[in-house]
Amino acid sequence: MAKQFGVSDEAMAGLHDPARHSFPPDQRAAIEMADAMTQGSGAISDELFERLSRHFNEAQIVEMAAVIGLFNYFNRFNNMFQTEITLMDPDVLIHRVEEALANEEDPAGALKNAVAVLAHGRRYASLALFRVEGARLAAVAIGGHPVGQPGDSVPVALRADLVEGGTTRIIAIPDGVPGYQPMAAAARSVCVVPVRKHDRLAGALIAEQERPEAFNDEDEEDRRLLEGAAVILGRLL
Amino acid sequence: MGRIRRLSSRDVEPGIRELFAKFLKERGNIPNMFRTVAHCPEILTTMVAHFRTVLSPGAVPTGLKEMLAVRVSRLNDCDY
Repeated sequence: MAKQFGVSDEAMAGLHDPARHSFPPDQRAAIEMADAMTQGSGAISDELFERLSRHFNEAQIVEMAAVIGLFNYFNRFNNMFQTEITLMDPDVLIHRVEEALANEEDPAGALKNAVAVLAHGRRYASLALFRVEGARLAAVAIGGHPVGQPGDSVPVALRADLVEGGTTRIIAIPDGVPGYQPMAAAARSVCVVPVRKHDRLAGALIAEQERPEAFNDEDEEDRRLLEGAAVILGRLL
Repeated sequence: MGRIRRLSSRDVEPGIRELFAKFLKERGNIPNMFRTVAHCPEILTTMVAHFRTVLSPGAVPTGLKEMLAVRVSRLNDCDY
């Protein structure tokens, strides 16, 4: 949760091991305050408090104590419940997909990178891009974790009629539909998004989630994201 | 999967649904932590208010608050 506030990469790296990084004296005192409150708050020295007082007024010290206390609360709560990381913001993710597709000299590699970025950003059980080849869909890029787990498989081909009609389909597993074989053994929901190129059906972007009834409600944003990504990916397909 | 079921908008009372909608509008998602805390609506309501107050611009530069939050999360071995 902390990273959402835009700490620079350099500062982030320094926060791994502050003793080996050059921080200004005020920041160093504040970081030592965070360390002291988080590890052994029963024995915080007067020396540290005096050093803090040289750089910060009382309101600032209280505000910093509130930040440090709040994140200790949140961290311990999330560690206790093994709270999963909230998925990447769709707008940010679409931007990253566009960046991955910027390498026009290697369209196949760009498509693979873009699908990998998308799969990681939304933690899909699997995500794959297919191209229509006659009556079948052939996989051209695969992301997520469809390979290497018992029972998982790389789909070589699916039936092209899976995207007939040209609209997004949600498939529940194990109910399934004729012609669809899940990529990930743990998949319980599938979203099939047609991909167009020059207004013609050119392929499909297929995402799988381990949760039943994914791609509904709040996950409607997931569906919109996949549809947005399909438009971009279609340019290079 | 987290140990506690995350609630969605359809699971929660109207006040929390509004709070969820605000997050969706502001950041395009509802933090999983808050979906978890939603099992206790009053705790969630006051937690979010406190979270916003503590992290909103105040007497300390926002960048420094960010650094403190990241440092604490590192020490607590929390990736969330």
